[in-house]
Amino acid sequence: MAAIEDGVIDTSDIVDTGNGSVKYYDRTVTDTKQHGIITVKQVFEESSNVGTSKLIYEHYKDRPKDM
Amino acid sequence: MRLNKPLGLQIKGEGEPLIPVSGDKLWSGVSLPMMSYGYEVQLTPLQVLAFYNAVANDGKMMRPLFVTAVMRNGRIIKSYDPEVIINSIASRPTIRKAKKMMEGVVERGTATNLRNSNYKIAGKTGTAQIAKNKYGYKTNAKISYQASFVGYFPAESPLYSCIVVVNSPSNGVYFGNVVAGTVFKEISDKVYATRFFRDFKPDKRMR
Repeated sequence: MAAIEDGVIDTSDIVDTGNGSVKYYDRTVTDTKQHGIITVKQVFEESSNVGTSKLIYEHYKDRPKDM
Repeated sequence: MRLNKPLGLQIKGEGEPLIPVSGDKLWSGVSLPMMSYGYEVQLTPLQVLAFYNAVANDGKMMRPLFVTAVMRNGRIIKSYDPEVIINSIASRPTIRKAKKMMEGVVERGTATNLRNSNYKIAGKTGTAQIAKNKYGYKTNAKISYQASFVGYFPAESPLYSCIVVVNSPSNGVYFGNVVAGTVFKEISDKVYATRFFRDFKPDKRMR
């Protein structure tokens, strides 16, 4: 919601959640299902950890305080 | 969005929200991605509910009100009015989008088991693993879960919001929609059947 408010993403943007797994340093974030390429709206509706973290990491990793 | 401050309840003992920022002692490279889906963050269920209630209320965040009046010998000696904490937690378009997504959760997402033909529920499921101090998320190869559902109804013109949090449900069934969502629905069904639209007159200060 903060990212939508900031205008960096919108509900119709797409994100690749791949096979339901993404790695940040030593931690692997997983989804319980594979969703593939989905919209931000679907990320929320399907509660994709991979999708959420990818979107936020991509847009805020260089300015985490803004999150 | 006013998530990092206590609500200031009438009852003493409210927990302080914990939302790490970069530079904190516990901040690491994985903090941001983890926080994005709810880990490394601590809020009380009531703080989460107040936030979702604000979304339902078109952005206006209200202080949860437990006591509306104090009486002595049958006479009101002090009354408490609904208080606005913040007029808008986000812009109108953002609130509208958040609401649509929360309706989608029940319509086709993680909580389709709450969909029904009588009234529309909007909300968000939560399924989280619980860390046990030094053991981390796995103790004896067993993971403890916390299942939750927070939402409001009827989705089109919200009257009620509710949060259900279930700690350590049985290990076989632990998803938020099944464990907490069904409890939410029992409550909302009961409210729908007995009180809906009848005796609820929204205070004009809440609108």
